[in-house]
Amino acid sequence: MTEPAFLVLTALADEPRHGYGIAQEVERLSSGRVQLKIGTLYGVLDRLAADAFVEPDHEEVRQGRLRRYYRLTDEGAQALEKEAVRLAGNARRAVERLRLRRAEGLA
Amino acid sequence: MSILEQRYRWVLRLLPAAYRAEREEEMVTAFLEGARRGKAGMDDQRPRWMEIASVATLALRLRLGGPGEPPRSFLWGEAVRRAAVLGLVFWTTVGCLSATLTLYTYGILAEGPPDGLTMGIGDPGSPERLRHVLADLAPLLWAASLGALVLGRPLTAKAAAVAALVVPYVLVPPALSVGGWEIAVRWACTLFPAAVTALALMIGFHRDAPPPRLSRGRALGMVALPAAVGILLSLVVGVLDSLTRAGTVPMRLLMQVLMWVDMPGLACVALTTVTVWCVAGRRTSRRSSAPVALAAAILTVPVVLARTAILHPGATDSITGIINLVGCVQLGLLLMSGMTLVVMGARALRTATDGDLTELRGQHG
Repeated sequence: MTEPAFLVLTALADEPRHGYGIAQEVERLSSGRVQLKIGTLYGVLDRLAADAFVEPDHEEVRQGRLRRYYRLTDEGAQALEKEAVRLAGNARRAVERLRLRRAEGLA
Repeated sequence: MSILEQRYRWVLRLLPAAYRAEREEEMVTAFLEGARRGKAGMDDQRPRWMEIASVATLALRLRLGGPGEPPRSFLWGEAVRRAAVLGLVFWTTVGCLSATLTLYTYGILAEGPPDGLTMGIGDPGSPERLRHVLADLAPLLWAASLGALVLGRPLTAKAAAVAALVVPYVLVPPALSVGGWEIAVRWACTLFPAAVTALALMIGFHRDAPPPRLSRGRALGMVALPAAVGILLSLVVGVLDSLTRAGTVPMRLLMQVLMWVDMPGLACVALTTVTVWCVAGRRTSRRSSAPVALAAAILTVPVVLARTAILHPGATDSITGIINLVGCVQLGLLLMSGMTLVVMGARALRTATDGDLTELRGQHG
């Protein structure tokens, strides 16, 4: 799973969001590091929808503009959890190795 | 409607109509909301380049679709991917032909040309000669690119193809300033076929359309066969060259043969063969010939330009006369093949249905 896809799924974990809402939340989650352009965002959403990880939730028209909201599916939540556990395991192992390195006086 | 919105909607026209009908309004909303909050800046009169690039990338992915996309998009995608594969097979042959002739010319593998004959550039052992030898061997990178692609490593394949395209001219920059714009245009035309192959490789294979991964044995065969053809052709050229020096074969005959084994000449033979294969396939209702026909049509355009680039209308000497004559025959063949391929491809695009493409989609796993 790519980082943008992981962040989009994370952005949808708490509530359905519309296009710009997802882009904003991804930026917040990544502390400003990942700024999704609209074409990129919809490319990621297409792939996640094809894998049935996200689906349209509802639409609203605000000031004459269409907002389509997307929500995380159960399959998407499972995929996100699996990826989060994998990344957390990697991070934990990296921290352990670094601690050992410091303990052995290599750093 | 603001100018910014108008221009963004104009950029979105890069996307397929069906996709735009579904997504345009929400994409415009998302873009304008970002712009209002200072991402693009409402004072900006046009979307930023990164925004345009992201839409262009999405458009390419949709228009050159993978197995999950609609029939027309998938057929175009397959055509571009097959243009990349056909191009790589061709350039592997040309690369091996060029490399073997280089090894002969510089006497690296076998004894070189007879004494007293000045061959190759630069003094033996000089940095200048090394640069020229490496530049002439660099086309072997096309074989590396083909190998990487059929082993399922598109990123390595793309890097090797770009290196094959660029490295020769980095090592030995073309002397374009000497001959003026005409030489520059002719040089650009000869570069065009390789550039189109590299471009097809770059845009055709993406995350939704990875290359089918062959077994090591099949992948080796896929590279070895065109390489062997290239080496065989270099032997034919070498023998003819020796016979011409010995006076057995007249220079005019050698020139005629060389016109069929230089890059555009070989491409002409290859594209004519592919056209015959596609026409035969149509008679036997072979489904897979449709994307190959489109791919060959794409590759025909730069070859026509490359062949035209070496013609010198109005020249009076006999050697240039032979070049012009054979070149015109080849252009005739290319144009006939090209038109046949375009007609076949257009018909396939018009009538493409999911049922026809099931077998092709299956090849992507």
